[in-house]
Amino acid sequence: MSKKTVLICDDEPLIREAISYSVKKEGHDILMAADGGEALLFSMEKKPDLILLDVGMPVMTGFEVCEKLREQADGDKYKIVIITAFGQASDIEKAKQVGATRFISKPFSPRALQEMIREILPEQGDE
Amino acid sequence: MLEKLLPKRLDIQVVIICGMMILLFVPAYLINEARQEIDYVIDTIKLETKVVAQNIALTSSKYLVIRDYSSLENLLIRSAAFPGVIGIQITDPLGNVISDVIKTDTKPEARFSVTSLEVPAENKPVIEIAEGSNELFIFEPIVSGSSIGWVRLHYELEQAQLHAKNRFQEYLVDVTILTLVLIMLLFAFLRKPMRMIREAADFAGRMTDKTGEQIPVCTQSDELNKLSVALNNASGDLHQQEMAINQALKDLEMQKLALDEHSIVAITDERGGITYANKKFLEVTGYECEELQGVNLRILNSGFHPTEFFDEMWTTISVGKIWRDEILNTNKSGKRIWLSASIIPFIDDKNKPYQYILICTDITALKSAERQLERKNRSLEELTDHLEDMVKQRTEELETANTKLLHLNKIKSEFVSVVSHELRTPLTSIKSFAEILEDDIEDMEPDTQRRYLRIINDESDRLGRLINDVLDLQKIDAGMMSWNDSLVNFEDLVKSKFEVFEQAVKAKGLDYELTANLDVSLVEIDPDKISQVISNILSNALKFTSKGKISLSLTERVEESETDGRQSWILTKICDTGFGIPAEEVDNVFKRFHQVDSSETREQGGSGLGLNICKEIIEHYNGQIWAESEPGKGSCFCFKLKAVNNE
Repeated sequence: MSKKTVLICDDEPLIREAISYSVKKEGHDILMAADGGEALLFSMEKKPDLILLDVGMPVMTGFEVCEKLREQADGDKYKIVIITAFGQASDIEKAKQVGATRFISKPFSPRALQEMIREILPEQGDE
Repeated sequence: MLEKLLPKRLDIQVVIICGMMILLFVPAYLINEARQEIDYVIDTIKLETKVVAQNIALTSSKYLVIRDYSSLENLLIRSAAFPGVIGIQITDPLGNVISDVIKTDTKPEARFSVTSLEVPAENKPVIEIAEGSNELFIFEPIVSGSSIGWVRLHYELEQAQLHAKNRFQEYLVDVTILTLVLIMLLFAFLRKPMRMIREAADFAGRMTDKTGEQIPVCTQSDELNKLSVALNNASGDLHQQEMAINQALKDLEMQKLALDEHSIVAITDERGGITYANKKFLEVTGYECEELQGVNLRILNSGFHPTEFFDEMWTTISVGKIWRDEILNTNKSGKRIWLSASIIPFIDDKNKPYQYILICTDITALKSAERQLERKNRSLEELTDHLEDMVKQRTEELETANTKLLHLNKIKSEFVSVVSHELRTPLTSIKSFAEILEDDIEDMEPDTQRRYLRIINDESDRLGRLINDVLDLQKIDAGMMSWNDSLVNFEDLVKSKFEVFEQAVKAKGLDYELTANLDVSLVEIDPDKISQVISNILSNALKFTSKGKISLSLTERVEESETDGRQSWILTKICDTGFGIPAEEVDNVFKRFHQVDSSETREQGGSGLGLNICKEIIEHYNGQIWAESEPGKGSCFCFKLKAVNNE
């Protein structure tokens, strides 16, 4: 089982904690960002295997971060899950538009999140 | 002169003239004829007697020569038996009577009385008619070689004259009869033409009364034929003309009626004196018919038009041109009337106007309607202008309002998004940790378990508060907040709230202080709402102050303002020695969902709505709320409310 790096981006500490629990349970390493600026920076520097992006963050929203990451050379290689508290149809569209790999809305079920992480980061890494 | 003497009938005239002509010429003719007849007779007699005388001369010459005086006498007696012979004498060449025979009664006798006669000088036969008598003397020479005597035949002409007279009388009778017959024929012939002429004359006389009649055409003579045909034609033409005139008169009558019904009409003479005014004219001008006879139209002058107006009118119509214009008149009672008038001159054959007809319609109402319309138009224009301005204004207002609305809508959707986001945040924590506990509680440390459960609890509270705040705001926004205002002693209210607070302050190890010096302390407010404000500010102060002091002061302020006049205000100041607020955020703290961006404050779990609600409440009471702060040193939250004056 390969250990992957997961970058958790959310401005609410409790939510970061809740997500961390699920990621740790899957056995991956964690990186954290508290705003969009940190999210973008850490993504580009550390190139984590999975980026979990909250939308409602200060500095830059999750959508903007995702867009910017995709504009990079090799931008398509990032695996990005957008987490939104807005939950409207337009958000789903927006997520697709900016090139998110997956999409989940708050309040989310930690089980579902775990399932999604398992799907995106398979045990046998074949990148 | 002749015409004066004659009777006046044509046929009698003709007859008389003819008669006169006959009387003139016929007797003359007759006399001539008679005379000729007499002459003829006398000539005949002369001839006869000459022959007789010659015979006697011849025969007597023998006797003379032989001096047979008895045979001579017999001869004479024989010859004297001849009718007409009065006497015969034989004389010698000197005139001495040799034998003399006269006829007395019917028998000739010798007479011995006359002795000598005058005999002609020459030896030629002479025939004499004694002057004034009807006796004829014929001297015939008796010749035997030479003149040896004379024969004087004394002849009586009376018979001849009688004869002639008879003849003359016969002629006369004939001529008279002829004349009468002629006259009768004339009369007969003239009867028809006379009748025709009479008829024609009557006809001509009747023609103007009863037109269209036709008389039988006279064929007797060309002139009468022409006359009757001409009269018939004239009658026919007259009839047609009469019809045409009648029709024209009828039309004219209709027109006049129409005119009278519709128009105001007056007729004036060539100087403008009224000769006729129709009913409408009298109605409109208020005069009676009698009052206007011969009066000049000037009587209607209103003094409105300048002299030039009337000069121009006169110049136009006096040369025969039609004048049309609108003219203001005054009627009998002084009322002013506008008339649309036409004056039409009637021109005689010398091209001079002899009569004017004035036709007008009353346009007073029209004029006043025009004026009204003008006024209305003007006010309408003003109104339109005003309206345009108003519309412009309104449009601007509407645009502003629209922009505002759009903005508000935007804010509202943002609000909804933000609220939904804010609500989901604590909910996410609750859900996540609840599920985690559900799945892994057996594998967890008790501390962790308790921690997670506490998180769930706190976040539930947070959610609850948030929901309440949102609902409050919603009510305030919708104007559905119930404000139970009453007169409240502000100082007492604040003091009681502060007391509740003291415990928590003490627990955190902070100092606290309350100062109040108010003369007036009454406010008209909903005590619950103001309590909410005080609690919110105090709990913020507590939340964001970890060390130091929280103080509350109440002071009074009097202000003069245009709107409120002299107004007392109660100023509440709550100061802390907490984190402080950056200068640029000092006004933003009262905005919705604002939470000062620092990790320390994040943990406190505010809703971000509390201060906004305070602002809404204070401003509802026309008060003011603001913050003053020095980052790192502390903050002061202040609000002022209107005090109720006891006067």
